[in-house]
Parts: sequence; C-alpha cells; structure tokens
Amino acid sequence: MSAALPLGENQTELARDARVERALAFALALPCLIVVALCVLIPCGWLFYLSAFGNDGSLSWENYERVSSGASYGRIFITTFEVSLLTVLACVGIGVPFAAFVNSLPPRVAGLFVAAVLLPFWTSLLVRAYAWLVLLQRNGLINTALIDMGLTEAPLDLAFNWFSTVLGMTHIMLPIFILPVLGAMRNIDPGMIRAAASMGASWGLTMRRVFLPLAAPGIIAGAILVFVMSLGFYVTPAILGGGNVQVISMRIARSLSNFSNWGAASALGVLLLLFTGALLALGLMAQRLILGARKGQDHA
Amino acid sequence: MRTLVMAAGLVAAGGAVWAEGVTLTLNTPGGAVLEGGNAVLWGPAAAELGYEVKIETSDNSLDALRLQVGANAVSTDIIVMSGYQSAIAANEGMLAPLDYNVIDAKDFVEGAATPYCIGIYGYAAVMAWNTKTYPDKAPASWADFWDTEAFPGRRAMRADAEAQVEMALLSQGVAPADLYTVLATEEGMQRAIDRIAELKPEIAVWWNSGAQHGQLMLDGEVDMTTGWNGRFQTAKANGGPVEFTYNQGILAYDCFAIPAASQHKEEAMKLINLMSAAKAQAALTGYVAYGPMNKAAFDTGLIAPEVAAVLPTSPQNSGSMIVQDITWWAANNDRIQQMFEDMMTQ
Repeated sequence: MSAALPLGENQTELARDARVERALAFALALPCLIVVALCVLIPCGWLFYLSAFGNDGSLSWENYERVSSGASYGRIFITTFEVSLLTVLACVGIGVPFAAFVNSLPPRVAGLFVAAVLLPFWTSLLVRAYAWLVLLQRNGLINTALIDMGLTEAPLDLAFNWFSTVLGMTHIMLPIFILPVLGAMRNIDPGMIRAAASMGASWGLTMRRVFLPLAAPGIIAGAILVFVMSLGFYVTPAILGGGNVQVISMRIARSLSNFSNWGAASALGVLLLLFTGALLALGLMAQRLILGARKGQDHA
Repeated sequence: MRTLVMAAGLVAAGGAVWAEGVTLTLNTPGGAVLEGGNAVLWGPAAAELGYEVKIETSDNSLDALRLQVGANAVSTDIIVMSGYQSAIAANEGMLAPLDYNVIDAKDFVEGAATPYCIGIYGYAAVMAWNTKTYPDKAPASWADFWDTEAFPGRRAMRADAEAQVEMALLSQGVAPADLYTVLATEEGMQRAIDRIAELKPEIAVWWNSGAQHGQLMLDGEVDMTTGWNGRFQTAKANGGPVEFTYNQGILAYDCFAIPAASQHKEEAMKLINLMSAAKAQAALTGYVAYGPMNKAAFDTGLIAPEVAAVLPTSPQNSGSMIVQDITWWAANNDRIQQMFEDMMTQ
C-alpha cells in the first residue's frame, strides 16, 4: 500500500515549501537585521577601534593599561556589579511574590495590578529619580513624617547613598523583571498545583517543589535582563547617589567630559561590554544546566 | 576638482548673501544668567543688530564644546565659558581669536580680556552655611569648613577639583600668595587632594551644578557647602536660611568666546561688543549677584551702592579674595582632575 504513495516526490515538495518559508522569514527579518547591524554592530566596532588608540593617536594598549593599573577602576567595576546585583536581589525579593500574587487573581483584577506595575514604566527616569529625592532627602516627606510621629529624633540618611541608588534602580527595573516572571507563571497548569495539594503537599512544599521550579525559566530570564541593564545605569546613580556611588557609566561620561579622552572612555565601554557578555553567557549556561537537569529528572 | 570647490564656495557665499537674518547660537548656563542675558545682554544687542539668537544651555560648556568638536558638529557661535575653561579650549585650538578692533575692552579688569575670551561677570567660589544650624557662631574661613568639631554638620563639595583644591590648601593656612607655588608640585597637589579626602566622610553630597548646590541649601539637605556666591545670594533673597562669606573666596570669571568652527564669527564679534558695554554689564547686576568685568559699569550710576556692596568685583569685596590662576588650571587640569577622581572613588 505504502509503495503506491509517491513518498519521495512528496518529500521534495515539502522540503521546497520549507525552503520558501525559510527564505520568506529571512526576508521579513532582514530589515531588522540591517537595523541591528547599523545601530549596534558598527558602533560597537567603532568603540573597539577607538579604544585601541592612545591619546597621541598611535596604536597602543595605553587605554587598557590605565584601567588595569589604576586601583580606582577596579573599585568602580566592583561597585557597578554590586549595585546591579543588589538591584537583582531586590527585584527577585519583591517581584516573585508580587507576580505569584497577581497570577492567583482573576484575570480582570490581575490586569489592574499589571497596569499599576507598568504605569511608572511610562514615566521618565529623571522624574522618578527626583521624585525619590523629594521623598528621601533630609527634610523630605519620609523623614518629616518619621520625626513628627516621634519614631526618630534625627533625620535618617536615606538619600545620596547606596540605599537610595538601589531603591531607585529597583523601582525602574521591577516592571522589566515582573513581565517575564508573570509570563512563566501564567503558563503553569493550575492543575499541577491542585494535584500537589490533593496529594497532601503543604502550601510551602507546593511552592518550593512545584510552582517555583516551573516559574524558574521566567525568574532567571528576568534576573539576567535586570542585571545586564543595571550595569549601564547612569542617570539614577548620578542623581540618587550624590557622588557617593561611583559606577562605570559615570566614569565613562567624565572621561569624555573632563579629559575629552575618547580612547579611555571607549576602553571602559569595551570592558563593560565584554564583562556583560561573559556574565550573560555564564547566566545562560547556568540556566541551561538548571533547566536541563530538571528536564532529565522529568523524563526519568 | 577645483570647479567643485569653487562651486561649493559659491553656494556657501550665496547662502550668506541670501540669508535674510543671521541666526547666532549662544551657549550659556541656565538660571539667572539666562534670564538676565535674555533681558539685558544678547536680547537687546541682537535686536539692535537685527540678529536672531538661539539659546543652548549647558552646565559645563567646555564639555559641550568638546563634544561638538569631537563629533565635528559645532553648532555654537558664542559660548559662555569660565576663564580657565577658555584657556584650555584655546590650547586645544577650539576657539577663534577675538578681534579687539571690533570689541571695545579698554575699561576691562586687568587680564579679563584675553586673546580668546572676554570677561562678562566675576564670581566667587565661597563657603555658605545654614543660619539655623549655626545660629550663634558662624564659620568664617576654610579652616572652619574643615573643622567638624567646632562646626558639626553635613557638608557638600563640588564633584570636580576646580576651586576645591585651592580651598583645601587655604584651610591648612597656606598663604594666598603661595597657593599656586604649592600647587606647582606633585606633592602640593597630593596635599590638597589628601586634605579633601580627610573631609570626605562628612561630605553628604558632591554637587555637579550651581542649581544643585543652591537647592541643597534651600532644602536644608546640607549644613555647609562650597558654591558660587550668586546662587547663595538668590537663596538668601528667597528667604532661605543661607549666609555666605567672601573671605578667602576664589574669584573667577565667565567670558564670551567664539568657537573656531563658527560660521558667523564677524556677527558674533559685533554682538559681543554690544554685550560688553558698560551699561549692559551694569544692567546684568539686576539679575545676578555677579560683578561686572567692565570697570566702567560701576561709573554708569546704574549700580546702586547697596548692590555694589555685595558684588564680588566691587573694590570693597575683591580685596579678601584670591584670584584664580587660569594658567595653572589650563596646565594642570587633567592631572588634578584624575587625582580628584581617584580620591572620590576610594
């Protein structure tokens, strides 16, 4: 019977269809690829190129040597990574419970909460940074309220430090974190949770063994996204840090403005790009390991 | 090729001839300077000459100019710079020489009309304090600014070495006359930086702009700060609990310069000439507490004696201040800023 079907011919046609489809998809993606090439690859290449020239215009490692020899650069990189990591931790701490809560609500009410998260997303970075200053400064709303209520004698140092910087950055990154987490949670079959509960698992156990592992891809994706974006923050640390939190983007800006040294600034940009790429690769590898290991377990 | 160049030249010339009105782009700080400039400097001067003036504002005009030159997109025709920035910009070849046949500078403060920049107003980097924090005994010198036992409280300094290193050495009792001799050596520079590092734990905010340090004092965010006398004068006038002293202030001036790449140099010179006149300079004192660099302004009768009393360039005030050495700054800016940055990140 099967011999009657011209299987080979059919396969050729299928393969041709697949080829056409691929070509079409590529054609559709082409404008996007061109934009990426023009707006990302060429400027990045230019950055590498600039960083390779010393102040006198000759080809040299001068810019990288300056970074590796100056102790302050190491501290700036460490500060940048620490601030970013704290922002990720704050986002995970606030974002995961919030997303789980929103996920448990009926769709219409959940929509309202998602809108509440997205609303500040549409406000300018600058406005939000200054809004935090109004709240946090020595004679700001929070300190005034605390003193009036008799909870503290002297105003607390809330602004112009690490606390205010991480707070402001968390505020900005939270929507970016919550969206992929919520997406992952939405895809969890509620039947799984009910099944776990029906088999006698406590709420805590259900969360730990069923819900969070299933939401993990979204949490990891959100955390990586927040971390990488936080590394390049400028406006928020500049305003809310008050000069006491020196991150890499501020040094890049000052290299340009104070010294007009495009080479030095480019070298810092290249290093930040490389570190970010390395961390991103590590993060993705960890993600694959965690998820891959679990997939193996599922099949076993 | 030659025809092409000629054609381009003709097109450029044609453009100049056919332009109906000349539009000059002027780069200035914001705040009271912008308001006063619109009202009594470029506003009336441009009207008299029939030019249009387009305003760009920047907190740091040397940065702005370097970025424009670096990107090969110079849009500015007249730029307001600090004296020391103009010396650096001139060294880097970014400024056009001023034509003193067009600009009348005969009554200017000595040294305030340089080949590349002509003074507009003088100001002082001074110490200000909150009068509520220190009601009985006010700080009087840089030594008091560093004395956190006699004057406890949160401080702010500029996130930039400019004027701050001079204050640091003055606080240690270095005589004004020796200031730049001490700073001439690497050890002297390190001494000034170390002195700032000493105070660092007490510095709550490193300010970046005049608007910021004015606001810090008005909000009571810090108790003592370095900053420019004009901003503190304004904060005081607005009823803020702010007082400042000219004692040991660092006197500097802002000036008009013309970028070498400007397309309207001739028109810019004419505009600068009108803006430098004694009457225009005197009128500006109605907007900012900065002192005219054209000495004839004090003879116009337009500056009331009580106003002259608070101006940094008036004879009674300029005596207690130290005139900033622009040459030292032009030569050492990069080095000292690097040391300052290392100190900031320590």
